[in-house]
Amino acid sequence: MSVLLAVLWKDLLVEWRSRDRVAAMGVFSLLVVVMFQFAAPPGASPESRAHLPGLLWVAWLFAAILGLNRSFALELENDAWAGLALAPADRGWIYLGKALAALVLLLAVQLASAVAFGLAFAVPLAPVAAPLAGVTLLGALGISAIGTLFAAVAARTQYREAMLPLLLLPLLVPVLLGAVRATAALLAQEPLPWPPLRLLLVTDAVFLIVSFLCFEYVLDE
Amino acid sequence: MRAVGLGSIVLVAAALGCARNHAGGSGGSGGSGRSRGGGRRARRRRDRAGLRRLRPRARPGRPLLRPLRRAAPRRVSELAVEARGLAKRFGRVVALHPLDLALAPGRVLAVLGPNGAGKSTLLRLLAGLGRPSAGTLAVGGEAADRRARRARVGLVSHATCLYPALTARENLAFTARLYGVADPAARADALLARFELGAVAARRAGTFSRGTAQRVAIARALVHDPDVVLLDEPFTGLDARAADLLEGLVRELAGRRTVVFTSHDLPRASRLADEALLLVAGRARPLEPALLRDPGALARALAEVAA
Repeated sequence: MSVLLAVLWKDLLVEWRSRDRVAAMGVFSLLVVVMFQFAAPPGASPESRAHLPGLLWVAWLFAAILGLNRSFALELENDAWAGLALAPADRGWIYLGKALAALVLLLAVQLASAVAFGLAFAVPLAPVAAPLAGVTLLGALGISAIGTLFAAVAARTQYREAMLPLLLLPLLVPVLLGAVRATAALLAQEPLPWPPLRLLLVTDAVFLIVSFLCFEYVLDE
Repeated sequence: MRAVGLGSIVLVAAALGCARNHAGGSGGSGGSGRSRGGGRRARRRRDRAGLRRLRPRARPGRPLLRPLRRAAPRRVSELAVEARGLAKRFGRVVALHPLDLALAPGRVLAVLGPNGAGKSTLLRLLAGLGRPSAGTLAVGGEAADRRARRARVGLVSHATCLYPALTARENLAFTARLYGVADPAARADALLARFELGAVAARRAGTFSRGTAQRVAIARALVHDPDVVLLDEPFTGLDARAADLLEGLVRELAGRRTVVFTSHDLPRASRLADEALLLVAGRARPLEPALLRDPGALARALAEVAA
């Protein structure tokens, strides 16, 4: 557990000092919201507005990939990767520290872009803020959980910027599906449906457990 | 929705296969601790004990730093480093042909050879960074449990392993936390004082000169008081003064810890090492002990085998 906290502290401190990940993710997701605003302005037909939750989650997903790509780039600098891999702790805790740091950064970006999204599309988010926060947390957890594992796998490949989305996006289909359906229900002022939530919970659990166990091998040379 | 759930499980299984393939897999005899030793919980208990149980070690002379508390683990060898048939291949490329190595505690071994000879591969295997393709390996008496082995080794690689955005103190404290050191901040301060790094303690590592970064990297490698210190070309890129300082540090380590270093600096290797291992194209070559005391003859011998 102390290893988890140490890695989390280190990642957040490095990000606090450089702010390169959050800046890239935040600007990207805000730009996507703005672009979508031109594509489907507030006065558009109900059919086109039905796609808004999907657009929002796709924006978050791509923003997350930007951040995840950077997550292990900082470990490659000065071969800090070897320093992590040499720690005599269970490497699963290192994974959890990295995944939690990615989750914190993604949630910060999601918060900022959700506000921009609400304003740009005149979507009242305040009445559903609490359940929407829960759905966002579950979705972000799934993205960070499996994204951190594959960011580590892709980091040492030649084309890591392209490799991560290729590896990650197919796996994130269930997360995207559950999160978009739950968000769509909330934005339509409907009760939160159980099946997408269950899908998110199961996927998050599977991703966390599998990644925790696999990370031992991923850090090896 | 159920179909999607099943699909995700299939995809996760495929991903698991990818990750294992990426790790390169096969694990030699010295390999995975995950598959042996009575399960994860028991192993975790052993590791925790290995770092934290009380048992101060007796060492001759003045200790470099106050020894950390450590348990007496189940040792399989009295040697500091013992390798039998240790080999490493990356795909079809054989980086290290099977070699045997036996190094007593407190000895200093120089691993010599031209570029691409497998020196760094050997050191990284000894450190526990990779799994041997074949052979057995025991470091600090630990063979089966790779995590316990890693706890006994400190590695200074080509790069410094430092985070440029963190200060020297933060880098050391972070490493101390990774190794489960009881008071990371105090340990970091002790190392900074010992290596005369107080002036740069609060400076970010990204601003360090090569010599200063190398000193912090060595302090980093000693943060958990390892039995075996591995130095991969530690003198490369240092000016004469920084290299002399580093040589002094290695001299201090010698006798108290087992040191294995790689170097192209033959005069320094001659001065520092008790023993030498010559690697050429991943194969260990016999080296007359007398050659180690004669840098000129050593250089000629190296040029000969390299040709």
